[in-house]
Amino acid sequence: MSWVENLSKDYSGFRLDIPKWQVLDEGVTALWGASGSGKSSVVRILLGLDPCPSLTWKVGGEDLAKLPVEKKHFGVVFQSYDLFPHLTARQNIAFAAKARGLSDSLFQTRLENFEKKLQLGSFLDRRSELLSGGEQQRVALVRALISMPRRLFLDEPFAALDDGLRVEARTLLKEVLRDEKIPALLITHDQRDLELLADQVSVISQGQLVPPTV
Amino acid sequence: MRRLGLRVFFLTVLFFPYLLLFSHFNQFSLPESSEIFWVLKNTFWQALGSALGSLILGWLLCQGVYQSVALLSGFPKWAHKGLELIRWGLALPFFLPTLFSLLVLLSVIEPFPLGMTGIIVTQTLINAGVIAWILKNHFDEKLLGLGEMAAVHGSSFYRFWRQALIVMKAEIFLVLVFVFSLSITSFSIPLTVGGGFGTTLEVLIYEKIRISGDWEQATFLSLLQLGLLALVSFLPKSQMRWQIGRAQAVSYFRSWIGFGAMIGFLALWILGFAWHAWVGFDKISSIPGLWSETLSLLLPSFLLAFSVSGVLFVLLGLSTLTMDDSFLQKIFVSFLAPSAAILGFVMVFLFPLGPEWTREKWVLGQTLMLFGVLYRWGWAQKIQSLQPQIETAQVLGANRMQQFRWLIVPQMAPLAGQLAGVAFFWALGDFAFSKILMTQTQTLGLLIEALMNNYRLDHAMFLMLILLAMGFAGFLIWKGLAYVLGRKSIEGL
Repeated sequence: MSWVENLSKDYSGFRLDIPKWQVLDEGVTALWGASGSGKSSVVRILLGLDPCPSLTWKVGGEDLAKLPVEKKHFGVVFQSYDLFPHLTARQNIAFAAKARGLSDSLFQTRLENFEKKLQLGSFLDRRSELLSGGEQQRVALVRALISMPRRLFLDEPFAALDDGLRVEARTLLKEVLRDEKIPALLITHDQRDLELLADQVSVISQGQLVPPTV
Repeated sequence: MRRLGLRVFFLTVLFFPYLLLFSHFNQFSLPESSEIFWVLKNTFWQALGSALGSLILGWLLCQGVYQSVALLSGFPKWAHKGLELIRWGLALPFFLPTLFSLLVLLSVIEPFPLGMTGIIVTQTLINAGVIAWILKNHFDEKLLGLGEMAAVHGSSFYRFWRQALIVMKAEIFLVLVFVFSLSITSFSIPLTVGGGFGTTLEVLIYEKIRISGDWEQATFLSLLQLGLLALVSFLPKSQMRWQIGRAQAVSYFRSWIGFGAMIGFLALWILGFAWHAWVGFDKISSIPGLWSETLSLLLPSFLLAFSVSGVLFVLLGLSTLTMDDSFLQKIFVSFLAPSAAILGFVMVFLFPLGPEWTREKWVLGQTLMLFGVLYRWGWAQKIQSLQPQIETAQVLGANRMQQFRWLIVPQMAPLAGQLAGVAFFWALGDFAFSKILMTQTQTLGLLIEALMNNYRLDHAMFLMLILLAMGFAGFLIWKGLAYVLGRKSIEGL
């Protein structure tokens, strides 16, 4: 496990302050909290999208907080998935693979593997703006995982799905995370996500961590 | 380093006319106060008249559009495309070169009222269509729900609009400001139809340099105009598609009078132009040498306009590299080019290059005049809309080059092509700026203007048809080039 330290930032009328936070290096660490509690801000800071000069996050002797965004080697699935609308599902996934310099053969092998596991075949060559919510979510997940990131961030990944799809998506995600063995940080406000996926739960309220409830 | 380089480049390109002007004329002299008052009064009244006229006619046309929506809703789905035609028909005079509008109006309205009235009529008829377009977007967005509720409760037409105008007062004010700011900077319209009675600030700047060679006063007037513009400058933000939808159920928005006005408006521009162009075609051989002169000007005009659009295409492309530079983004959005008259004379007298560089100066001047307009015309919003994608790409490990090639180029190129196409059209139809810079008839726009000045309106109209065909071809070329560029950039992904 590793420690995130001095994660603090002032927003207008809101202060995020996490002096020390234990994060698992295997399995799923969940950050649970109500809307407006500061969850998404934590993700943006850890990803490096919002500056936080005081932050340290040492993993294996390396301070991830000091690396530029693109060098951190993270994967992310945002709530809105943010697929690139002008690209097909396959091109979206290839984008991440090429950006990380994955070889063509490794890309093909991994894509075929995901294609079977997540049943992507029927829509891989469709433009992403034409995909359904569930399809978009699966593409975003594969895009985040294709280059074997050192850590996966999942920011409310099921929020845009209806209830029926959510149950199926959770099960799929659990299987994929188990197979890939990539540590993940799950941000959610949904108790059911925690029950199925989380190995450790931290609770955030008004920008501060509170003692765990699960 | 990259950021600094881009800042130096853009600031130099955009602001060099100001630098040249103020380095040569660092002392201003004020014109007579009565002259300033007179010209400010003219400028203000013509801008206000144009703004009010455009708003009233635009509202009437907007009612006509809603009437069309109600009519078309009874037809099969393919007929709904007619609404898109109406939409573009209304906006046509605004998007086509001013020379087109002047020619049509001078040909159709006889006798044409020169002076202040002429300026107001021209500006109103050019802008009203696009105002109808903007108003419809605002009404759809803010009033449709209110209208439905009022209809259910049985409110009368007047009662509804009394409340609706209160709800819409901010939007209506912005529409007024939009036309007002366009009218302040208009050069070719007061120059052509002002007839000496409606001298505006822009025309006075031109006259100060051209007639009296008084740069100090012209510089002061230019600053005054810039200050006025900075106060009121703005462009419409919403660009929506029109749909056959809820509006047909609510009668407050539509009227048969508006429908008649809309048909009349479309007929004025489209039939008026087509008829006079046809007559002009019959008469073209009556002026010896006109046909051969026209043919000889086609290629140079095309190349000049294409150069302007090409430079703008590149500049807009380069501006995407400054997405993370909020300082430059602010500069782009608020950049106001110097007035056409000042810019023209700066190019002629202060730019240290000989007359053999006229074409290059023309291209540069047109580029500067159009850059800010195009940037605000959807480019800035489109750049902003890509921000979440860029962040995702960064997290996924994409470097700047990959972000540019795989995300920015394919998504920005279509809009860049469209804007370059519009710039091509405008540059092709320019005559006012060309008149300052060029001593001979070097473009088709200048030839058309010369014919117009000699009351050869039908001849000019036929040549305008050729100019429009060229403009359309250039527009399609840019659309095609941008499409290919967009496709090529993601090849191999």
